[in-house]
Amino acid sequence: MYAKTFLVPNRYHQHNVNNVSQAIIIPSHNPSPLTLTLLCQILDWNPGIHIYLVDDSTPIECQEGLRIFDTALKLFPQVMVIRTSSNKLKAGAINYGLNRLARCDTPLPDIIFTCDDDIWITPGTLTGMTRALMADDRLGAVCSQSWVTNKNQNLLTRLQALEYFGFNAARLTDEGFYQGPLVMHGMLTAFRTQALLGAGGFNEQSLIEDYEITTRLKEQGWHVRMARNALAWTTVPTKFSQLWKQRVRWTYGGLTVLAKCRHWPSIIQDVFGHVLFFGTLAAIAIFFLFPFSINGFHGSWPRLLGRIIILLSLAQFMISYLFQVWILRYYHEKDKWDWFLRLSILPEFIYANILSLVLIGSYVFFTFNALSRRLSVSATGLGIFIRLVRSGFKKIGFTETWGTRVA
Amino acid sequence: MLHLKGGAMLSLLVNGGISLAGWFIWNGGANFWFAVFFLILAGFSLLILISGIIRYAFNLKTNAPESSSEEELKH
Repeated sequence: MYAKTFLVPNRYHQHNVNNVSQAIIIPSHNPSPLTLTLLCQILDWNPGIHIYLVDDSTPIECQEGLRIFDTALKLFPQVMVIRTSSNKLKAGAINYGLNRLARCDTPLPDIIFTCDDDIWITPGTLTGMTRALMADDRLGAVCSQSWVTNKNQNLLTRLQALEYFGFNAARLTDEGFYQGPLVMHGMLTAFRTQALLGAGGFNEQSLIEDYEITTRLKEQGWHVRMARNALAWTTVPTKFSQLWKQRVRWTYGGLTVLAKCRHWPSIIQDVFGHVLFFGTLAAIAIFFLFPFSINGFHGSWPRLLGRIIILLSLAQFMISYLFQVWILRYYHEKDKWDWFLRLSILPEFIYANILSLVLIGSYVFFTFNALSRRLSVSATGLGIFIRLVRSGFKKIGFTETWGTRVA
Repeated sequence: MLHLKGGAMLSLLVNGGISLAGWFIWNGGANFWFAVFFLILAGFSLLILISGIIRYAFNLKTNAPESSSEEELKH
């Protein structure tokens, strides 16, 4: 059933979407004025929507952030501002909003949006997502396109913007492939209420709650997709240290989701990625570290196989490169510098390879954590060693302790 | 669409590695199963890339949005 979607993706039907009730939950911790802008945009362009702004225990010292909640209450009386009893991080704050929503006297909405508190949207964003979600009864969630607000700030943000454009292209590629794209991102996603509540809400223990909920929706048989006409912008890290922390959470968090998921169609894209990357890495390592173990194959066959492998690799590089250049025409915010970065290959190559270090580190950190949990740490020496290694990992940004927010 | 970790351009690293291995195998000195493993890896990653491009083109044509994103961008 799934195999044919490798080449011919599922198609989704179009239904009328009149009278769809909507609610949006916005978890927020120490918000900026951007949150007020977002509220204004939502209410101006989607007047019937119910908004739950969840103050995730913003500390009393953060007076500016607290003032944003006061201002929101004054300016937008229709917005429900609720405060968690303790800092619950993003997944917990959304669940808190969900519980409040479920306890209201009014009927449950058809669609529940969740989003970050610092995004920008357009007049058609939420409508576009609603149409895309209600288009087919199989769909449990749709996410927006993700664009970058501060693309032109520096080279790092520009490279991330190109990468985000690639994420959008990947989501379009994966539409109808098995049950849809790998992740309905936390930046802005619309859930069918029945699907979200049926899945039991968000997992508060996960480092990467958006990927985790997507896998559980798929486990329950729902499909997901990206709403192509729904645009949203986010601000990306401007410093490498911030980016590193974010990517450690994404990659290590992704591995933890992968390890727990038992429904392989939910994670098929990730499985391919890890198998190819890890397989190549391991084989190269074996090649250089233990050359004697792979000797012993002589004659005409090695030359023939070697030629085929090199040809296949060159073909993949050329096809991949030409495709990347071709799709840049759909990148509406591109300028000459984006063309330069893409055509010259090297900046994106360096960027991708630096980020691949995060992935390699995540493999090591994941293996270390899996092993250390199995070992008895009661032995003093071993316990000290494990703590030392863990603090070493922490120094280079690898930790299991922070939530969605960058620590 | 490549489903290679760490960004699409990382395919360069993967391809570089595969090509390197191919080069060594070409020059002899690698055992049969090692060569077969790399052949499968190279073939499989190419297959995934091409199938991804086909799906991208298919979705671009058939699942077009109702309203124009470009109009939204102008806003």
